[in-house]
Amino acid sequence: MKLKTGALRKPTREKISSLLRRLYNVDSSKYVPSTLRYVCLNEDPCIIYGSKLDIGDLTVLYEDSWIALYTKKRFVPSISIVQSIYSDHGIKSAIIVKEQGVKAFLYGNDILPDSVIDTIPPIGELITVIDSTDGEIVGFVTWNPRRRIYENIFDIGLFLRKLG
Amino acid sequence: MRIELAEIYREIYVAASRDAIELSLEYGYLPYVVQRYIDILGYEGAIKLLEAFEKPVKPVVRTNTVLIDSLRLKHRLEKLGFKLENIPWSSESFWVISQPKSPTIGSTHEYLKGYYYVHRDATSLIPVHLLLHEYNGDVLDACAAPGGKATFMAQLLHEVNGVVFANDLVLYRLKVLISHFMRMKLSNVVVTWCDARKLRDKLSRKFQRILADVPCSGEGRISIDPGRKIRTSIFDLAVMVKREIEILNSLIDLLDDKGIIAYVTCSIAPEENEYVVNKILSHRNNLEVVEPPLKLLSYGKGLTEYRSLRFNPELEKCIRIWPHIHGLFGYTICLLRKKH
Repeated sequence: MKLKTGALRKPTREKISSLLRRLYNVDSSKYVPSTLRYVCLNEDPCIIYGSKLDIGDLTVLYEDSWIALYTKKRFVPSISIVQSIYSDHGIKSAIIVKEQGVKAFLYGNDILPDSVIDTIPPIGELITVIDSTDGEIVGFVTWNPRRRIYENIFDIGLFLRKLG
Repeated sequence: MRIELAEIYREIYVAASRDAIELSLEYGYLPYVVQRYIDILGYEGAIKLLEAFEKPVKPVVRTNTVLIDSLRLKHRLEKLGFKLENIPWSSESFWVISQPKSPTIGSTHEYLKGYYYVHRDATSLIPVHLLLHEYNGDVLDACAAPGGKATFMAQLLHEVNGVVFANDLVLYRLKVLISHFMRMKLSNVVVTWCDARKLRDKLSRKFQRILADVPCSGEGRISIDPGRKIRTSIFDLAVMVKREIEILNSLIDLLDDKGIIAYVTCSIAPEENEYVVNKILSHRNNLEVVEPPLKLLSYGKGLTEYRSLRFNPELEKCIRIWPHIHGLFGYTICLLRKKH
C-alpha cells in the first residue's frame, strides 16, 4: 500500500476554502480549521483532516474529523461541513433524490434526472445529494449536460468500496 | 525486562496424550491444542468446547449512539427484514438473529450512513464496558484496527470530550479503521501508525485508561475461522507470547498512577493470557489485578495454575469467556491497575 501523509500547503488549503465560498457564499474560515493535514492510503481518495493535538514523535494518519476529500482529481467538502453550512445558511446547490436513485448512487452509480424529486438552487459546480427518505446528505454529483445525467463524484458508499 | 524465546518455548511446551491425539484427529486440530483443553477443562469439558467451536456465532449490530438512538435503528433494520434481539448487558447493541437475502447487514444505507458497527460476536463489547465504566477521559487503544472497540469507545466518550488515541502497526488495517471513523462521523479520535512496543518512546503523554487488545493466535475465534485449528505451532505460539509480553510491558510505562490497562486477547490460551500477565507481575511490583467493575455475565475465572505452571493468585480476578459456557467467542480479559 502506498502511503502519503503530511501538512497541507497553504495554496491547497485555499483551494478548499474558495470551493466553499464559490458553492455556498460563506466565510470559509468558520468551517475550515487553520491547520490541515492529509493522508493518501493508495492514490484515491486522499483525506484532508483538521489537526489539533501535539502528541509527540508519532506518525499521525487521521485526527478529529475529515474536512475534505481529494477524489477523481477534485476536492469534495465533508458532509459534516456542508451540514453545518446548511444549518447556518440554508440549503443551496442540492438535489433531493428518490429512494431507488439513492440506492444506485450509494453503489457508485450516477443519478438519472427522473430520480430527482426536487432541485434547490443555485446549482453550482458541485451538487449535494440529499436522500428523500430522511433528509440526510449522501454525497455529491456534477451535472453533465451532454450525457444529461448527474455524475457521481462522491457518495458515502465510497468509504466501504475504497477504504474497506 | 528481558524475556527469552527459548525460555517461553520450554515453559509452554505441551506433549499430547493419546486422548488428545484422538480428539485432534476427530475435530481437525493440532494435538497440542486439544491437550491444553483437556488439561484445563477435563476430557468431557474439552469435548464440549470443541463442539461449541463447531457452532456459528451471532453477529452483532452496535448502534452509533452519536448519530441515532438504538430503538430507531432497530425499527429501521427490522423494516428491511432483519430480525434483531436485544443484548441485555449492552443496551445499544443487538444480536442479528436472521437476515434477508439482500441487503447484507454490512451494506444497508443505515450502515453506510454510519448508524452502526457490525461485530462478528458480542464478546468484544465486554472489555470496552469494563475499561470505561464511570470514566470520562482520554484512552489509548494501542492495537486498535480494524476498530470495533475504538469506535465504541469514541462514541461512549463523545459526550464527555474524551479522545480515543487509536494506534496500530498494520497499514491496511488502519485504512479500515479510518474508514469506520469517517463513516460513523466520530471526531474525538486520533489515528497513529506505530509498533505498540515503541509507543512509550514516541508519545509525549500518559493515560488513565489503556486498551491492549494485542495481536494473538485468535484461538477463541475458531468458530468463524476454522483454519486456526492448525495454524499456530507451539513455536509460533511462543513467538506470539514473547511479543504479547513485550507489548504489555511497554504499555504499562504509558499508564498514569492509578490508571487501568485492559489486557485483552481473543484467545483462551493460558500461554497468551495468565502466563503473560504473570510474567509482567513477577517483574513489576507497581501493578495489581483488579476485579471487573461490572458483572455483565457470569464470567469464568482466570487460571492460577496450568499444567506445571503456578500463577499469581490475583490472576483469578481475570475474566474468561468460554464458547461452550457463554455461547460467545473465547476471550480473556485482565484489568491491571498501576499502584501509586
